[in-house]
Amino acid sequence: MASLSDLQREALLAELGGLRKFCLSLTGKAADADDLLQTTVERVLAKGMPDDAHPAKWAYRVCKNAWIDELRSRDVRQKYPHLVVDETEVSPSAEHTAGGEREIAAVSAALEELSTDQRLALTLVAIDGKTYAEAAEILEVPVGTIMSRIARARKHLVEIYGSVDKS
Amino acid sequence: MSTSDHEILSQYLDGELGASQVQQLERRLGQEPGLRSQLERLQSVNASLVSAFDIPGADTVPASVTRMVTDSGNSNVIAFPQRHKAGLGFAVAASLLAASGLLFFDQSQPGVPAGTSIDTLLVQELENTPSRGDGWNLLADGRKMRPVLSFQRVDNTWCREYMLETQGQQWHGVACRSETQWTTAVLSPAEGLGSSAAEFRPASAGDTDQVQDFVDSQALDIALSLKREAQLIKDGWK
Repeated sequence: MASLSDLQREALLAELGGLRKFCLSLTGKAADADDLLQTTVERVLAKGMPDDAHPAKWAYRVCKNAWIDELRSRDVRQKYPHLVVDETEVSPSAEHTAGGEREIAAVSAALEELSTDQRLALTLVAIDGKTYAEAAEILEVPVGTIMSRIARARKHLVEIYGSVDKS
Repeated sequence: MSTSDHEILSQYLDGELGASQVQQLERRLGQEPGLRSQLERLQSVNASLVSAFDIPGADTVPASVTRMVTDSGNSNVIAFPQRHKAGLGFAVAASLLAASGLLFFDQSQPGVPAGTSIDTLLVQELENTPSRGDGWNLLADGRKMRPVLSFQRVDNTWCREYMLETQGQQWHGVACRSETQWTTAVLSPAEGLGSSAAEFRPASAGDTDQVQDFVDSQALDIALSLKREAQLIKDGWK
């Protein structure tokens, strides 16, 4: 596999914004999203991509793999302690956190309760707006698997949000 | 609530159901309060997901990452060149902003450097010559010109950064194209200029990097690839 062709490079450039948002939805923090995006781009540039690969889907797949590698190599709760939100204890600093950041932290904490497979499928479709077919290509699983993972993920999130509401 | 119903509701939210399935589900939703409440809960969760990440800056890519991609090519994607600010002792001799609506610099303006206005020869170069990293295109009147890169401006017009050498003096500028005309947007002496250029000092003189500032503030995106630029040249920048 050689370096990227002109078209692949331009397609990658066009996809960087979407990838950044995907990284943010996975990591829940801007600085970590930038790191994950950089790792993704480094890998794509270092390893290239097949001539017949769809550049955007390929880049998302590399990003997904980089994220999974990150999860495997570290305990995510150590690296991303902000994702573990104690709903019963609001520190003064949290009170001053911007509303958007608080919302991301809360949603990320809920997403953290999902399996990695469910989280990736739900993130691609619900947050990044991919179709089931596109998500299936990126995650290299059948469309039916995407459908069931997303349904289970949503069901789980409803339970999480329901328990928070009750408490 | 069955697993199957959950999957159907989830597909409904994602717009993945066929028309007949949608019709069937909506009929059921009208008849089954439990199903409807579950859909509302799922919609609420979904809205939280979407709104949490639908924030300004979520898709903002660090410039360093963009550069990694643009710099990885040989020359097929031209990154805006890294320019260092001139030293403190460097006196900028001239920096001209074309008056709004004017096609050419007014040659009669006192102190306007000769040979720098967008005349027919320069228009031909801007209109027809691909960008290049080095070397010069020799014009019929002896001046030398090099289009450096092309980019789309925030107002969706096309602009080209260029170098111009005339009367032993090098100039660095950006020209932008309206429907039919190329107009100089910014022009300043290139570094290492001779004394002649130092004689012209418009109001904006003193800003050491007018071209860089213009590109930074006006470029909609990164520089065009050579392929895209070639297509625009072929299409008359339409």
